[in-house]
Amino acid sequence: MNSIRWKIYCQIKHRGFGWIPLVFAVFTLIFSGSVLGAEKRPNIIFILSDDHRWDAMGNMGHPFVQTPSLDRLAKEGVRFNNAFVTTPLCSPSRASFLTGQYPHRHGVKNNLTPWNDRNITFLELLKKAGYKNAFIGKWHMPGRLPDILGKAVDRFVTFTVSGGQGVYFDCPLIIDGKVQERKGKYLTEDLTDLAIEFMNREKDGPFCIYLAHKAVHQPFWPSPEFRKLYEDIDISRHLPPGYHSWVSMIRGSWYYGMLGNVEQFYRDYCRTITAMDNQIGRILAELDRLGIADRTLVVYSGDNGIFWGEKQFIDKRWPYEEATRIPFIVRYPAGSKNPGMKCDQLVLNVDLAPTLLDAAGVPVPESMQGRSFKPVLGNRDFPLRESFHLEYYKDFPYRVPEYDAVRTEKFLYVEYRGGKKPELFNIQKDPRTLHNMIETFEGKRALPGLQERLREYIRGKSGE
Amino acid sequence: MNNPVPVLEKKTFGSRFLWPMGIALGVWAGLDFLTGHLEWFGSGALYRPAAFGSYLLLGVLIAFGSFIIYPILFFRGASLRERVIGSYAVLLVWVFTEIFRVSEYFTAGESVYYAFSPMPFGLLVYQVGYMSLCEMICRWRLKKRGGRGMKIFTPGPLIGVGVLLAMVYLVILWGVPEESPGTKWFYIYQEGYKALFMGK
Repeated sequence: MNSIRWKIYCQIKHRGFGWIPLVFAVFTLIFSGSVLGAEKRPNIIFILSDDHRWDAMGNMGHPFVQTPSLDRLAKEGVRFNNAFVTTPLCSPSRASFLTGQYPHRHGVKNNLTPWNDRNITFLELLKKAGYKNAFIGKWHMPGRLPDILGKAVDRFVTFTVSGGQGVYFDCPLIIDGKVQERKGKYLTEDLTDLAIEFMNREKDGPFCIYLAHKAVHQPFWPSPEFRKLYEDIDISRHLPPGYHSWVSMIRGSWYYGMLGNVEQFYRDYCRTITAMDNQIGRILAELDRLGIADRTLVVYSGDNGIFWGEKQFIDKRWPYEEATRIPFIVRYPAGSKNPGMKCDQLVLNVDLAPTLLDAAGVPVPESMQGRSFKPVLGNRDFPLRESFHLEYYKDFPYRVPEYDAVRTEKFLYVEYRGGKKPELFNIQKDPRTLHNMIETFEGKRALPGLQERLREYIRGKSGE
Repeated sequence: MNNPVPVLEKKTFGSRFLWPMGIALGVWAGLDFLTGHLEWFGSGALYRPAAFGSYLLLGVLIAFGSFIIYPILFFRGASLRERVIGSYAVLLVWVFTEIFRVSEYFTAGESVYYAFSPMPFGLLVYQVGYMSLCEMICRWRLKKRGGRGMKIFTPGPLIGVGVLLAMVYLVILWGVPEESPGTKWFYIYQEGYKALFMGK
C-alpha cells in the first residue's frame, strides 16, 4: 500500500502539481486511522480456562483472589457480567465455543459423545480468510484428536494424557502430531510459552491463537511460586452457607476428584487462578512489547463454572448460576469506545465464534446459532437477546438429570427429564436459586410465557 | 474358616446375628434420613458441625462398617456365612438405595451398571479385605485369650488382604500418581459404559 502511494506521489510531483501531494498527505494522515486502518484485520487471542467461576476474579469483587492481569484486561476492555454457557460441561461447551453451535447441533452432547470432524470451527473460516492460526492447549473432547492441522490451524498443540485432562506438571504435549516430553514444565506456563512463540512468529498478522488451559480444573496445582499464597486466609468464611466438609463425597460427587479437604482444594483453586493470571499477564506484556496490542482482540473466558458447596453441590452440570455463568472479558481497542465498560447483556459461549468472524470481516455462516456481540462492544445498549436456552444431556455416571431450561434476565425455568419436578427461580431476587417459586402467585404468572419460550427452543432442537 | 472359636459361647441367632445387623441398619437409616434433612439445622453455626458429624458417621458406617460389625458377630459365635452377610448388610442396602436413586435419571440397565462404578464396586470388594483383616485380628485376640491351636494366618484371609491391596491400587491409585490417581479404572469403566449402552 505504501509503495503505491509513493508511486502516485512521485508521478504527481514530476508533473508540477506541487500542492497536490500536500493535500494527499493531509488526507492520508486524517483517514489512515479509520479508513485505511479498517483494512487491517485484528489479531485474535482467545484464552479459555477450565472451571473458572465468573466471580472468582478480583475485578468481580472476590474477597481475596488476586487476578491483576484479568483486572487489567477488564479495565482496558469490556467485562460481560452476564455471560453463560449453554451447557455447563467441559466438552460440549468447548465445542460450542469453537462452532458457535449448541450441543444438539455440533453433537458433543456430553463428555462421552465424540467430536465430528465435519463440524466447522471459526478457526477454519479464519484460516480460509488468510489468518495464521494456532490451537494450543486442552482439546478434551471425546473421540480421537480432530483433523484440524492444515485445515483450520497452522499449529496444533494439545495433550491426551489422563483422558485428555492433562496434568499440571511434566505434561507430554502433542505438537503438530508428534509427542514431546516436557519434563520440568508447568503446563500453564508451557502453553503460554508456545503461544508467545507463535505470536512472535506471526506478529505481522493477522493471526488467531486459541489458548485453552487445563487450569483451573482439579487437582488445582499452582506453579511453585504460588504454593504458599493465601495461607493465612480463613477459607471457611468464604465458602457458601451450604458447604460442609464432606460435600465432595456425597451424591456421586466423588467422581469430580476432590476426595479430601474441600477447604484446602478451594485455597489451591484460588492459587491456581492466580498462577494462570500470571501467565495471562505474560501474554499481555508480549503484545505490548511487540507493539500489536492495539490491533489485537483478546478474549478471556471459561468453559463453565463450578459449585463449591452451594446446594451441597461440587462440580458443575446443574442449570444454576454457579455452573452456567462464566467470566467473559473482551479487549478490542479498535472496536470498543469505552475501556472499562461493564455490560449486563446476556452473552453466550456460542456467541464467540460469530463475534470473532464478524471482527475479522468474515461472513458468519447461518449454521452458527450464536450472535455477534461486536456491536455491544461499542454500545452496551445494543439489543442482543432477551433469553436463551440451556440444555444438558446425560453424562453417565454423573448424577444430574437431563434438562432443558430457559434463562431470561429475571427468571430461570427448568424442566428435567425423569422424576425431578420443574423449577422456577427469580434470579434477581434469589440469585442463589434457593427458593423454587413455581407454586407462588408470581411464579404462576410468569410460567406460561416461560413455558412457551422453552417449547419453542425444544421444537427448534427437535427439528434438527 | 468355619467357626474357629470353640472357646466362645455361640449365642442365639437373634443375639449373635439379627440384633447387631439390625442395629447397624437402623443407625444407617437414621443417618441417611438425617443427612437428607440438614436444613433442620438452618444455615447458622449448627449446620456445618451437624453436617460434618452426621456425614462422618454415615461414611464410616458404609465404608468401614465391617470393621465394627464383623468382630461383634465373631465374638458372639456367628458362623462365617452370618459374619459375611452381617458385614455386607449396610453396604448392600446402601448400594441398592443408590441404584434406586439413580434410576430416577438413568435407565434400569444403566442404574445396575452404576453399582459397578469405582466407588460402590470398590467398597464392595474392599469388604473382602476388611473382613479378612478382622478375621485375623479376632483370631489373634482369641488366641491371646487362650484359644489353643488356632492359626492366625491362613490362606483365605491372606488372599482377602491381597484382593484389598490390588483393588485399592486399581481403583484409587492407578493413573498419574501425583495428579490424577484412580482415573484409569474410571476411564475403563466409562469405556464399558460406551460399549454396553452407546454401541461404541
